[in-house]
Amino acid sequence: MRNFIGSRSISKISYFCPKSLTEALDFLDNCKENVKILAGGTDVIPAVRSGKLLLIDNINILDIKSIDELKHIVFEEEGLRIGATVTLSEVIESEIVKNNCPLLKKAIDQIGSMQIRNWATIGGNICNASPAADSAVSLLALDASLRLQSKGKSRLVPINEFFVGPGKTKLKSDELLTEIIIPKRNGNSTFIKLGRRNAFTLSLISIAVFVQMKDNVISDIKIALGAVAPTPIRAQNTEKILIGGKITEENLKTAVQTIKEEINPINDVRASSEYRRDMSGELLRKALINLFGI
Amino acid sequence: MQTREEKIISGKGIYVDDIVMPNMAYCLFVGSAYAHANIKKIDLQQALSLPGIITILTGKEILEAMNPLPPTFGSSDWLWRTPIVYPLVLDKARFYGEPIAAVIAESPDIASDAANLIDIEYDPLEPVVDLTKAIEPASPLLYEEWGDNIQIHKKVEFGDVQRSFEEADRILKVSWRENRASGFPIEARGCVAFYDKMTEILNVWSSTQSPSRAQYYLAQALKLPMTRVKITMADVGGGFGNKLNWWKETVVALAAILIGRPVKWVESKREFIVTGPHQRDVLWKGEVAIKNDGTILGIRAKLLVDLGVESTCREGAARTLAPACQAIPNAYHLKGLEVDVYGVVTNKSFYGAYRGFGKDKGIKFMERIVQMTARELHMDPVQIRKKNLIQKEEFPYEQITGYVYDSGNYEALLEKALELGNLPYWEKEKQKRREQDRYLGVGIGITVEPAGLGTSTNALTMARVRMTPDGLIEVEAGQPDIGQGSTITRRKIAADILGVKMDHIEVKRDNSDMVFTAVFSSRGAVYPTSALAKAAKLLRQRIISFAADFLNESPSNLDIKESVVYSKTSHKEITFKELARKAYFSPGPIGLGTEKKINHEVVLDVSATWFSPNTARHPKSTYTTFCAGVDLVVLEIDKHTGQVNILKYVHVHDAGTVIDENIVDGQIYGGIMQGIGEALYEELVYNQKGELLSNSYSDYLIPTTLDSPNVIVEHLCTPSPFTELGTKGMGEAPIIGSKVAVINAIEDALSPLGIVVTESPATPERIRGWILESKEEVE
Repeated sequence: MRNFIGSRSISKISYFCPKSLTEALDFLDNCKENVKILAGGTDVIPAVRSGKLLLIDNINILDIKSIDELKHIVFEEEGLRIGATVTLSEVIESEIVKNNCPLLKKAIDQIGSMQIRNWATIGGNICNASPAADSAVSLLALDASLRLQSKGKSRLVPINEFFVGPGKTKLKSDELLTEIIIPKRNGNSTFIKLGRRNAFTLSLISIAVFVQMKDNVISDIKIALGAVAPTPIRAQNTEKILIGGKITEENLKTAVQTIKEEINPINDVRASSEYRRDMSGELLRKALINLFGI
Repeated sequence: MQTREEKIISGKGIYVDDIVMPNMAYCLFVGSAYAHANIKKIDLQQALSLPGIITILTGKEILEAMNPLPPTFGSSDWLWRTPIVYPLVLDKARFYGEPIAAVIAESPDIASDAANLIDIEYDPLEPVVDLTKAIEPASPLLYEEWGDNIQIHKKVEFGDVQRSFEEADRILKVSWRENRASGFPIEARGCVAFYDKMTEILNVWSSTQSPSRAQYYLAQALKLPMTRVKITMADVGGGFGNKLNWWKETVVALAAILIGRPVKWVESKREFIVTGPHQRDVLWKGEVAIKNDGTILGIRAKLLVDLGVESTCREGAARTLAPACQAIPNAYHLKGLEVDVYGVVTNKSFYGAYRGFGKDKGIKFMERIVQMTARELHMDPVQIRKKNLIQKEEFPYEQITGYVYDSGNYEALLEKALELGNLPYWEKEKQKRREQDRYLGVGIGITVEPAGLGTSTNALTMARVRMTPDGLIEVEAGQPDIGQGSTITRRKIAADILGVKMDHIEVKRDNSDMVFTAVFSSRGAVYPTSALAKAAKLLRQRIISFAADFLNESPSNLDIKESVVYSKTSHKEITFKELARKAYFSPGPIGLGTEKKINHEVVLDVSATWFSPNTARHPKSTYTTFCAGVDLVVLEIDKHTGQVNILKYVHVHDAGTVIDENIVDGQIYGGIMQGIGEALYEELVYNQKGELLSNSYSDYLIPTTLDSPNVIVEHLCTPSPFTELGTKGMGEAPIIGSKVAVINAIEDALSPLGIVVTESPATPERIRGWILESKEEVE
């Protein structure tokens, strides 16, 4: 058992803040282990202060927020590309995001407070791998991919395969998330977040839905949930029930039942697993009513 | 010159953490990993070998150098147990985070590294975490010598309880639980201690609410005469009653003496939450005697309060259980009241004096009773209130509990709130929205707030007002400014009475040299204000009589305006500056009239003390003034998620004479937000091991501005006959009425489902749970 220490301090750290991607990747290649990547610092610094992340064992901090190559927001043939260190406020204020990916804007708009959004980055929100990360939930529904780069190598990983557990991802020790790619698709979307107060609150549960229609039936639907499993997840059983049909009272009921059965939420100080399960159904119902107006 | 307010708002305040002294060392506490454990061994070797470590104090050093923390209150007619408490654990840790060692180092970072190297061997014991289980005979004990976990107990009885129940048409059973919560100022606790070898005085700069109490506790604990201890207030970022406690600071001061260097300690927010004062955590079970016409006759209740580890030494808040009982009758006639009250100890952090100080508990209980009575009788809660309200002709009104209410017009307050609330509109809306499956509710909370406590040090006050030789005015009155704006109010009182420009008045920063200075018990507008008004009136008289001598005029012809004494009948006048020059230098006292010199009244410097005439005549009326407020809230509940949305909020208030409306409104807005927070979000949650889970602001949720409704405030005024200016203390009413009004509104909204709200906070999950458990089909 750890003693209680209410320290506000940060121990001596080795800190590296490169200006270029090459320098950063070289650093990762050399250090391999014991590197903590920091961008906005809104997760790392509180974790250090609360003792969840102890820096006493000579962890190297790699601060990537000065790398210009990671700050782009562009819309091209392959879709919307957002650099890893674009701040959440920049995502919200971007006309490109607003016009091409309103779902992402809506989700990110509800993260933290304005002060936090001014520092926190989209890449950091993903790599922190919180089960409750609102950005990740919307990106799951949008079928986004993540570009992971290491020295001389680059690979694309679908976000659906990226998360492994709370705080754990498939990012290798020599890799850096450099950008998020959201494919170009037409469709309707919605995002609903349930917190314990009206603003500046962690999600008890959140849901993002992206739907495409063809000839009045659902040709594709992606439903993603936050804070109901060890990682943000897709509700694929529920999606299957809805694809190829219309929304009726009946299949809405079935979908609500299915989503409650396919998740496995935890009990914690914020909510019980029963409430989270119950709310996954209620939020799905609200989301589908928003989208289909039934 | 910049005013204090301009300085604070522009970020130029000097808080404890801004103080830097040459050669300063830093203190960091290491607390228990277990809620209940014997300490077998403390290994400091590794930590002490770290470069930059100066010393580490543990219970052993404390025991050698210190007395136990002095208890604040005692009681001869209650069961009142006072444990021996030292600020560091001697042998057994009794709550998670209880300080075991204090690391003193060259920098906060080194202190932190060393703290992580301290190895403590524990022998864990079964923790006591449940209020009701704590009093079962089989429960483990916090203090073995007591034989049980009850720290204080009494059965109090007021009026004729038996008769009230005999006359009743029916008996209503009520149960009401407020979970653990507390107030969290934006600045946590901290101090810088420095022993000055030249003056042989221990100087401490502190974020305290009471330098006077701090001085006493520190001197007692460190075995020093009080004259050798001086406490000065830094700028303070809020207190809410939670900066009256003084215990870890004694260790910081001891360290400063031992190492002969200044030592700073400023705690983190997490430390404030985990090892700070907690409040509420009450369980009421009661029976209410009512008549079918809505008259509430009497109440019999049992009250259990979870005091955590104790509340007589770190803080004297065990005392809050007395007003918890006495405040129950609130704004109503009541024939009899009996409360069997227990202060129970558990393995949680200690109990503090958070805004409300117990009176909140009784008032909220009463307002829940009113709501439940209305429901039982199928009547409107407004009608129940009107039936039982004390009428305006009845003041001063002697309540059965001994409180003597000074003045008021409760019915007018209620009527005003109803008018502003526009209830007929919302009643229509309620029906309309029900058809759309939406739940709208209206809730009211009336609060009669006892303020200005006449017991113990609370009632000691002294004000001093003087004209300095430059013709300006210096004011000293024991009411420290901790962010509530008492500098402005003190300046305004003196300016109004003396006829001086606001910027000609300097308010002296509070320190322990003053007779008794503290912020608590909403005493500001009662004790210090009255003493200040008295002193200012005396100084005014003296200024006029001095001017009369210098101008060769009759005093009755003179008046003061804008720092000039002028004759109402001639053109003669003298500025304060000129008057001061004459009074102090030339001609000096010799130039004054003979009678003044013979009476030794030659100095423009007066002081006054004050004691409540109410408490003097009625010792059972421990409080002096009784301001009143009515909170009215309209809200809607999303039945699918349990979320609450406040649609309208009205607060009508009577604080007697208002010194400064902005300051009063500030108290109202802040109190309402804290009450809403307690009603909906705020909860200190311990797990079965006794660890505090909601130990940061991501899990202990304080409402943000985005959660804040648009509050409509209206003031009515019935001046208090008992204070010098007709003012009434009003710092706590808004936090009380708001909480219970929100709870009552939630219950009203859910009444179609037959739900009784028995617990706070009413979180979305709890509300959804009540809806799912309710009798009616909601799907």
